[in-house]
Amino acid sequence: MRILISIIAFNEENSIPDVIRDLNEHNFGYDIIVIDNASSDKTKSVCKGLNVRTISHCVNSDINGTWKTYLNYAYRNGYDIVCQFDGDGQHLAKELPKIIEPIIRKEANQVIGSRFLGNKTFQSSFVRRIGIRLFSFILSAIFKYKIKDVTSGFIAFDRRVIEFFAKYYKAEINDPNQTHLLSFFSGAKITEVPVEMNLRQHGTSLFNWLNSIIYPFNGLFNIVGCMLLKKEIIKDWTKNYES
Amino acid sequence: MNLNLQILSLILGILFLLVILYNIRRKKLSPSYSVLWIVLALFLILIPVFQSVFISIARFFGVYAENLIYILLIGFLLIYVLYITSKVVRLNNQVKELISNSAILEDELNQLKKKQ
Repeated sequence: MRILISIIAFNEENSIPDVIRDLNEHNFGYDIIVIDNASSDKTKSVCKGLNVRTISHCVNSDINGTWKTYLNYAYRNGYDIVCQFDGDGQHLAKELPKIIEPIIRKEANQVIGSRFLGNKTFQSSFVRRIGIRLFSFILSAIFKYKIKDVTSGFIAFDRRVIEFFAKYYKAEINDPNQTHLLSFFSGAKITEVPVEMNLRQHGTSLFNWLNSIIYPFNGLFNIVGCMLLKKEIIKDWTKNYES
Repeated sequence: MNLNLQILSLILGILFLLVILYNIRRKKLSPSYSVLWIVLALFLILIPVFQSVFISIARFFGVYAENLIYILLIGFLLIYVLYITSKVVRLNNQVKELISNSAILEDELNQLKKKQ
């Protein structure tokens, strides 16, 4: 099984050496790449110096662009599993097997590393928790099983999901809820495992105060948009893939 | 309809048409994107020309002719913005796909160079 860890980095020159050291110390034998979203600092040269394969965007794209890059990369190079790993030191390398093992055991196609299951080491702001609660409630209702941490960036996908997003669904994806919904419609089984996470060490969150007002509305529209695509996805992709 | 308003509409329409044609000639506008703009210019020109038809249409809807101009213009602009939005979404998507592809290809090229 070929497993790829893709570290997402945008201006993370301070934290990325620690992240890579952490991954190297554990030495799971996974391949590691850094997706550098056209950082304006020394992220690229730092990664080169650490001898990690670095894929650099020529201009700054958004989180969706980064995700396209590593999924396309995983698809082209025939990886069976790809994990998303933050470059800001939020995620811990020792937790990686936890989100990969359910896929190896073929229990799931997509695994979310959850901050809210098990022992609580991570607390986000009150407003954000309400948002996560809301979307977790909606997604759980659609999936008909419980999903708690819908915004986690610690995710692993198997070949089926990689193929779905690299080959079939190339349109814009604005938030993680959409990813979960679309891959659910594509017939993937999504599970959640409890993981530990660090508090953010460097950099700022994607969510600032303006976003925290717009985000819920945007998120609801995104979900409605996905629901509209459900039939088409099942007809065009899920049935073809399974036959 | 007020005579001054008719003249204004005519002048604006002709000016607008000339600007669009000028920009097409300078290749700053592509003909396919400016079809809607030309329609708008013709609309402004045709209002004073076919005034009686226009007024009877306005009467049919129970509004003044002047208000009908605004309603039609706003409706036209909304349609155009929607059209532009769909183009932006498409372009946005294509750009992202290109950024991601070019990054992967650049990386592969670097790997090949290293091997040599």
